[in-house]
Amino acid sequence: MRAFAALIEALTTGAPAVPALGAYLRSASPVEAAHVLSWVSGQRPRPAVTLAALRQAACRAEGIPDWLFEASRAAAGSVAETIAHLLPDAPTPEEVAPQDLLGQCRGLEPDEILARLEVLPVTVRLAAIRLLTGTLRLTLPAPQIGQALAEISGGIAGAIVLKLETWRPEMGLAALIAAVAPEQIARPFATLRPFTGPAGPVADWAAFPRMDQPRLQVLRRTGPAQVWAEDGRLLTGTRPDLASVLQDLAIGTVIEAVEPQPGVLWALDLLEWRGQPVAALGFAQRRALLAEGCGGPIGLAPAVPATDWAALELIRRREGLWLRRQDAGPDCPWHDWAPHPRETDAVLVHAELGSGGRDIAGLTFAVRSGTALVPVARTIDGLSREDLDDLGTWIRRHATARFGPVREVPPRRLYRLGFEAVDPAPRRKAGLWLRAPRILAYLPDHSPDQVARLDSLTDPALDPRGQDR
Amino acid sequence: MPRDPVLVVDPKGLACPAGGFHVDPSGKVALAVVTHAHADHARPGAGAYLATPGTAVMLRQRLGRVTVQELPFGQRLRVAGAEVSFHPSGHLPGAAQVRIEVGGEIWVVSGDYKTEEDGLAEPFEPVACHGFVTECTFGLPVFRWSPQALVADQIRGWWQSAAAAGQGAAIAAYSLGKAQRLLHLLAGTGPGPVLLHPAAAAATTALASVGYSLPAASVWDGAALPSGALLIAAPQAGLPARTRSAMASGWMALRGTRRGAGQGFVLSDHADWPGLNAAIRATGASRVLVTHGYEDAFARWLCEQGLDAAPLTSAAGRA
Repeated sequence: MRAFAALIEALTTGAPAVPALGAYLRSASPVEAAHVLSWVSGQRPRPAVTLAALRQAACRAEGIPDWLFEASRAAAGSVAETIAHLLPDAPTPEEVAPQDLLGQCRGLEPDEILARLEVLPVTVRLAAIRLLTGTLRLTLPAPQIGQALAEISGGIAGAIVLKLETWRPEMGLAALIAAVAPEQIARPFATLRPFTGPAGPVADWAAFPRMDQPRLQVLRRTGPAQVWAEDGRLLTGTRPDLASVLQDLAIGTVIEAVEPQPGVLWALDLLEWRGQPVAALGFAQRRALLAEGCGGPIGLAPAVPATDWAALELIRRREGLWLRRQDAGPDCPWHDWAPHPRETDAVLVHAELGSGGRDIAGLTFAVRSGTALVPVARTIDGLSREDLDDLGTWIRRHATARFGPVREVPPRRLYRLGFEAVDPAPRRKAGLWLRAPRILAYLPDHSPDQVARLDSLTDPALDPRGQDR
Repeated sequence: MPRDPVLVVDPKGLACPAGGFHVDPSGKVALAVVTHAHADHARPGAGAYLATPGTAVMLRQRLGRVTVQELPFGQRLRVAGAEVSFHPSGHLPGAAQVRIEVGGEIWVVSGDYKTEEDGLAEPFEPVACHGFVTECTFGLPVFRWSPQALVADQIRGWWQSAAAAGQGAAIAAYSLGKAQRLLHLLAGTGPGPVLLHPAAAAATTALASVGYSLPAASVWDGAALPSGALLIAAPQAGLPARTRSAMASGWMALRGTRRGAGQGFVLSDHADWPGLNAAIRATGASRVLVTHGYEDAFARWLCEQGLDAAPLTSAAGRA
């Protein structure tokens, strides 16, 4: 458990993930490493006990009333840490592999699980409790896992991909890793950066609808065709529906594409074409090649015709745009022109107080639904250091309830929030959550009754402030 | 006729009316009985002080020209209508609990204390009493200390790895008490010499002058640390570049109390939860007043254990 606990500690305290994972893989047995990799890649292990049941068992075992456990939780930081520190020291600490501990504890009563925890050293108890209660919320992106594996096996970073979707730890580490030949690896994606504003004649630019989906690279050089995601994942094995598209791709083709709807691919750019020097061609010329059919089965992404900047501005305010210079090379950036933020007025309902230097870690805002207030966004973006300090003082003085580090505050402070979009969120009370919220202003002169209604978010026509969109 | 209380809380702190003195007062008083020389217990301005010899030498160093009567551990002294004696608290060399007897009723004020023997301070001595005023700095059940030998091993391991990397190591600790404990634990056992911050060196010299056996150590002159050296530094002091730093404190045990500090070692001169509870039981006191820590929670816990307990501040006017 020691190496596993050290890995969990490193990852939760924000240490660089790849070196931490590499250090772990060097010291763990392959069997254990297979299980741990499955956990950190998102395959959450089935818990052996709930955290609540373990908490009750710990209180019983130590003769501690629950109010005293709760008082200890603020000092310890979390329920799991409180349990770990509540149990007495192990006189002769034992060592056990994490997957074995999990297997042993399944089917045991909470008191018996507590006895298993007591023989572990305090430093590994926290990791053990998180594992046993299913609260190990720690997912590393596949490319980082691949990089760590590559580093310890001496392979080339990027040449190892993980077949995570169909893999189970019982198959062993070897089945997880698939080596990819260097010629099948994607080119680096051109950067996507925020658009700084209209510059030069509009004819110098090509405009496209703004894509929510990440970009893909579809390539076929000398080996089989592959589909790569922008985050470095190899998607070929998981997208059999694209297999026919890949088969029809001409050898020597590399295309940057996007999937606006499931199963539909749009070609954004031609990056390689039968050994032809594509780098020498401008973006407009490469699109012309795609229009002639060089993309094979992949259709061209439709451009937004641009007559003048004013017309483009109207479109981007509503939906946003992606822009690229007509003479851009394959490695030149795309430009993201975000839509005009929507706005709403929301009241502050909860504040999470920070530790260390930060006074406030998060602010939760709510709008009105019927007679209740439902949270719709959480952010501190947009407030200056001074504003945060003043707000922190106000929160501490007026908090009406505490839930660990979170304070409930009287819903008296109204704020204007900007946001990009409304995402459906069925598990939230409001049924939705604001995307990319930002605090625009504090509205001290407005009454908290002027908070927006929930339906104004889903149907902008109902927004009583009648924003000009 | 109701008896006058042995101890009361007045604006200057904890007072014994029958004896005409205060214990660790915060205001200017005629006679201050001092448990130990830490700044939150020993303050300037008293007309006279009563302390153990170990505490007295530190009072003179820190408060300058003061009138201090020395009373060794265990000796009883009549002070007006009260009988006063000092008993070891284990907090640091010379630190004491104060036993106060008035008309047959015995109260003990613990000051700061710890129940683990550290091999340097006089070990905590439980004193039978009717009423016990106890600190509860770490009065939550999640505070449980490891034996100091294990912590010393951890510190040595960290010190070794700093030396192996060609760096010096600096450990932040109070200059009175913790610094001497670290010096006693670590001198001569690591890859290089132990250096003392000037304040820690002054306290060490003073304690050695009254007979405490402390290893010799050089004073740090503020220059870069030689590789392999261990500096016992004042908290928040500036450190030279290429130095690994750590903090030795009980607060390092928990994430919620660490407050963003870096490397930490859990070494405390206060009693942990088991220590506090054992100490209180050992006194046999039926009345317990708690101070200096998680007072509300600890007092409630003691009440639920059947004791007549309360936070000291809430008992203002009556003990």
